[in-house]
Amino acid sequence: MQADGIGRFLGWSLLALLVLMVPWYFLAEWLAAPALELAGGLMHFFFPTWAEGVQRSGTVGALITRVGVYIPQQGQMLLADMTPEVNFLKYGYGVVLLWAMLLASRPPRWLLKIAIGTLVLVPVQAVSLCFHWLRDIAFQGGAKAQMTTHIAGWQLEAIAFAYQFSFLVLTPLVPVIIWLALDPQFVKQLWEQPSPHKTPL
Amino acid sequence: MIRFFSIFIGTLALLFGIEMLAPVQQSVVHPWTGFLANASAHIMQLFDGSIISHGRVLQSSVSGFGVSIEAGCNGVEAAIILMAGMLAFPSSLKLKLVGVLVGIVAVQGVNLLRIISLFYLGQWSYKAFEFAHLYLWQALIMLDVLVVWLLWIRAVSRQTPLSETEVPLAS
Repeated sequence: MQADGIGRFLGWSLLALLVLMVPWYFLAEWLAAPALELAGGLMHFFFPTWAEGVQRSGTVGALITRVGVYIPQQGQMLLADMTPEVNFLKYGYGVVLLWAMLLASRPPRWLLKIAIGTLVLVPVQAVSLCFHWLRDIAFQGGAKAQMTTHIAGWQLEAIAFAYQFSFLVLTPLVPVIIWLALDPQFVKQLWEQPSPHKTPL
Repeated sequence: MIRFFSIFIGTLALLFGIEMLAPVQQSVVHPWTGFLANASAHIMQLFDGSIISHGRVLQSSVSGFGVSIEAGCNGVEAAIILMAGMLAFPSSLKLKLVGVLVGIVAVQGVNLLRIISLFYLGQWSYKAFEFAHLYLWQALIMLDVLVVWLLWIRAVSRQTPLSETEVPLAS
């Protein structure tokens, strides 16, 4: 790698990120489908008594539940089932970052690696979507919802932590980790490049 | 590679957990976010005298438009990711400390640019603000963290004798 390797990588990554954000935004409905479906499946698997599945509308997924909550309407309290919604885009932008980094570093078989990376991101996105729904159910459902979900005590703390961690840390970070795994040569070359200060012992 | 990622994830979870603690939020994160709002206002006042800040809010006294800097926008998580990456990578304590200090300044510098750009973008178009705020700048800040980390690795490699030049992430 030449001395300006990082600068070139940054330049190409920025350019690719800015250019690819636009098609990603308009193609997101199709990219959202596998993550939302998997998230709905995971919720039903882990909470079969109250999570039924997902209803998609564009990039938004509504979790269909049997968690009852009281909602005020025309002076009366009506009982309804919760259907917390999440927008995939909030957890899906990382795929553009991954594409941009792979295009900038251009490892061997980069197109295949873009496909692999995109697939590997899906379960991470799905887990983040699940924690978004769980946060809404656990913290907005109130006592009536708690009677159905039995989420209480340390589980509330765990859901709050996992939601924040997945939204603020995992979503932007995982694409970088996947890039490092798919193109380890980039860091290797960076480490091994000749330097005037590097002297044999 | 497994050793690096184990230390990295462990350190990351620990630092993030500490950040989430109520006393840390109260005594460190909230004052820091207020400082960011204040620093952004001071920078913007160089070319726009209508900008004021109060607490975590930046506001235009002319248009009334304001933004509140919240968790995820104060650069703390980005700094934590960078710190975890540097602490997990094999190097001397001195290089880690220098890297963390310089790296945090670099990340927060770009974060100030994010806050200022979003403030003006929001006055122009709320839709553009939402797009830049939720997706574009999130990715750009992570790219900034990665580039700072890569520059630091290059600096570390130049300080490391040839006999110790085993590539930490290659196995």
